[in-house]
Amino acid sequence: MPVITGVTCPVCGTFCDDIEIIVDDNNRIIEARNACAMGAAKFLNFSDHRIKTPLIRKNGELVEATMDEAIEKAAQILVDAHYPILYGWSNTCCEAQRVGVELAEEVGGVIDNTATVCHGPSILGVQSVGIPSATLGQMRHRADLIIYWASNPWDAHPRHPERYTMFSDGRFEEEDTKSL
Amino acid sequence: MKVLVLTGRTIDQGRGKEMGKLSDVYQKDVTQCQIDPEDMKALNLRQNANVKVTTNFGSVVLRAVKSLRGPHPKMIFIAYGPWASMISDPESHGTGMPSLKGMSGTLEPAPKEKVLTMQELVNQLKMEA
Repeated sequence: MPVITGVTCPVCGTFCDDIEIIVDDNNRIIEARNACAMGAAKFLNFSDHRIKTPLIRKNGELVEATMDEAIEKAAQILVDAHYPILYGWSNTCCEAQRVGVELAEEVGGVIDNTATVCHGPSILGVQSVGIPSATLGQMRHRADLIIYWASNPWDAHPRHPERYTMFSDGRFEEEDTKSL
Repeated sequence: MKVLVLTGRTIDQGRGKEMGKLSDVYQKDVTQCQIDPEDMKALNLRQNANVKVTTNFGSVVLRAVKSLRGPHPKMIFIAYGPWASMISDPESHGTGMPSLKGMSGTLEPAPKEKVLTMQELVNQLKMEA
């Protein structure tokens, strides 16, 4: 069965890029190796939510259309729009986002994503008091103690401990001294 | 009992949202109210007993579960979802994001009330609107 390697997970900000996707003969994802529970749930359930039969409104009624018709219609809507906002993207893979940015340029629109809402408070904080920050490399290799405040990597970024802190080896670490 | 209400992510909320917000995993997780074990004793609550949480912004019935993250007396946790949204502070301070943590509220046993399903919750909101 085909194995697609080096896949980037689109779920959280950890951006694990070592995901291996196993696809069955019907082009359906049956396994997501290396992914956390949240990432695996994304890959394994993704096809259930996909819209495989697009609907186009004709004379007030939604009728089934082919994918080609739907893309043509969507393109027409974008071309006819004065100032379209291409919004969302937060669960979209990097490759698709890049196409989205190009599309926004083409149609003279604005591209925006959900982080403007969910990270609104973060930006307000950064603007008012600044931001002491560290790279993930610094966390992994140089930090002795990391305090997580108002964040919960166990649940929100499940592979963070494995990749950068508790279950990872720091370059200068002599013994397992990290805790979370 | 007066409590501080926190909302946030859990791993099953994260898994469940990918399975669909109508999935059992999602709905089970986001209808739980995680309570300090000592507070559960004080209120004479068993695991999965129904409780009512009320803040200035609304009230909602949830299932009480013992928090594994304690001790955090007088502090309850509810995973993000429509049920948590019923009692969250809509004030965004201009950031676009509601105040999801630190609401003052009350926690009380609600043996005679039921935890609403997603559909019932939406219907209730429609009625209020």
